[in-house]
Amino acid sequence: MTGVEKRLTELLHSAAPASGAVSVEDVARRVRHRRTVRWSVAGSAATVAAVAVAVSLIGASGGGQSSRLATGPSVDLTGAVPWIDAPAQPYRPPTVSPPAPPATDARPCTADDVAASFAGRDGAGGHLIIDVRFRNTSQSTCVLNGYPHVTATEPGLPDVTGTNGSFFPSAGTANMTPGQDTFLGLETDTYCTARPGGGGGGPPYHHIDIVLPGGGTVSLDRHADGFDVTCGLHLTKFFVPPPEQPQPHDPLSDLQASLETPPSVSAGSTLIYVADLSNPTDQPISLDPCPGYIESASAPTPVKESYALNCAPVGAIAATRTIRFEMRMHIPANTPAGPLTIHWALHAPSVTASATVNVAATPTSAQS
Amino acid sequence: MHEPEGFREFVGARSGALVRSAWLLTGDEAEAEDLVQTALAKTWSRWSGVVRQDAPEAYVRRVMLSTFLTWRRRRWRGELSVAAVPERPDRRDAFAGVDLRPSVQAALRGLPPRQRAVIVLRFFDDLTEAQTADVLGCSVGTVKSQSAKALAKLRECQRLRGTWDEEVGRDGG
Repeated sequence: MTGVEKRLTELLHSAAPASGAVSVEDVARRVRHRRTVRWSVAGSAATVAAVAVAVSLIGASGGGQSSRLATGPSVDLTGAVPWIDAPAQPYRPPTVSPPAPPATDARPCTADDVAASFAGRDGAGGHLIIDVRFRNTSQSTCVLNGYPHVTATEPGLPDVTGTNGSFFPSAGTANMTPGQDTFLGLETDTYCTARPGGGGGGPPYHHIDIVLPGGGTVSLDRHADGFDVTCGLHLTKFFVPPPEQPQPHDPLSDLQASLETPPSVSAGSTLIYVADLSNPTDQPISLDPCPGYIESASAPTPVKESYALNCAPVGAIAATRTIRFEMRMHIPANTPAGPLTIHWALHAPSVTASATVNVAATPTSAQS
Repeated sequence: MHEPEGFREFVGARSGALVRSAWLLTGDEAEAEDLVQTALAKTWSRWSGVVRQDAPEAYVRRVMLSTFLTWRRRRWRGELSVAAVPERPDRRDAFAGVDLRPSVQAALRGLPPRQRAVIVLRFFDDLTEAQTADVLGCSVGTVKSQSAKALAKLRECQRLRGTWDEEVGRDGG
């Protein structure tokens, strides 16, 4: 295995989560869902009845419980868009076109146009990079492009010339208006053929001369630590940090959600509730592509399901209007009596709601 | 419909490892669980035959990778980005707190799905080139070329800048 491959293996193992698992019950629900969708596509009344029988036969744990389909008191569903048992489609956030590359057509900066100073440092694995900042102190726009000629010097030691190309990639350059900065990376290394054991400790070079492509020399002194150039001095091209890309706004994120729940639900039954989606803006919000949603509840047998919203009858939510959507959630039979908080989130940024419903105790006589 | 024999033991023993691989493929906890559940659900009805082949995990991985690549082909481009998600059931958050996670996530996302799959199978799941080719249903030569391209991309990735070993820097190892 090469060094890269070893390091990649380390990275993957350190980044991957420490644990995570699924339960057989999760899988069984998924199997039921797949079968329900296939049967629903067949589309006959007998098929629907078969689905009902199959669901009643498949227990979440410990055998069939026909009470899975039993529902407790529900909210008023008048005008609510009916619930559909369909898988959520993957969320696709809006995209933006990448920005045009910055202009680099200004006149080349000379040494008289800029003031230079050392900026940040970075590195790992034996590579160290120190950045030099060049600030345009002239009255006009200019550009630092390509590689400069760099020499590291130290009294009593031979000069070391920088070589083009660094282990560290860098962004592109751009025209620099007065007051703006452009950077250059100077890289030194711990390990090389001249020092196979690594360990540093080479004589430090404290003086750097940088001859700019546009002419003139910028000189810098690094008094504190200097540059250990035993393994050479490697240069990036001049670069400017790429501008931050604005995050595109997803209109779905303007929606506001709230839940209507019945006062109580029996453990082992299906909770029927309503998710209200309100559009507070003055523009319609399209439901194409149709978003999904996640519903969950912190029960001893955790509940977490994702479905598609039933968008077909709606298409879009008009300005200042609210659309009510019927929702269904199975409450596991072992959910203890008392308050249960349910959570709901649209597959869109920040469209969430919660509500609390009282779980009634399951009658002690078995129901079949 | 009855739970297949031995299925629960397999899920208990191996779903954790599958979820970890799925997270590296998808970069998202919920999607990773979704992917593993889908793969296991597809395997459920075939379990008795799968077990007879004596390599159930390889079969599940094949299904998982094939499902992942299919999802990607169906125009999954975005990442589910929800500022506040429904409260997860009470369990230890095993997915937090590793500094490298965002960089590795971003770097893997920059790879095309098939290259990402090769990287995860070869360097996380520790499969050989032949085993990887078997899981992906392609030739060993394809695995080699996809791996080389992916490694080159990862080495250039800004987010992983400075994390590679010193042997990488000069000899292009």
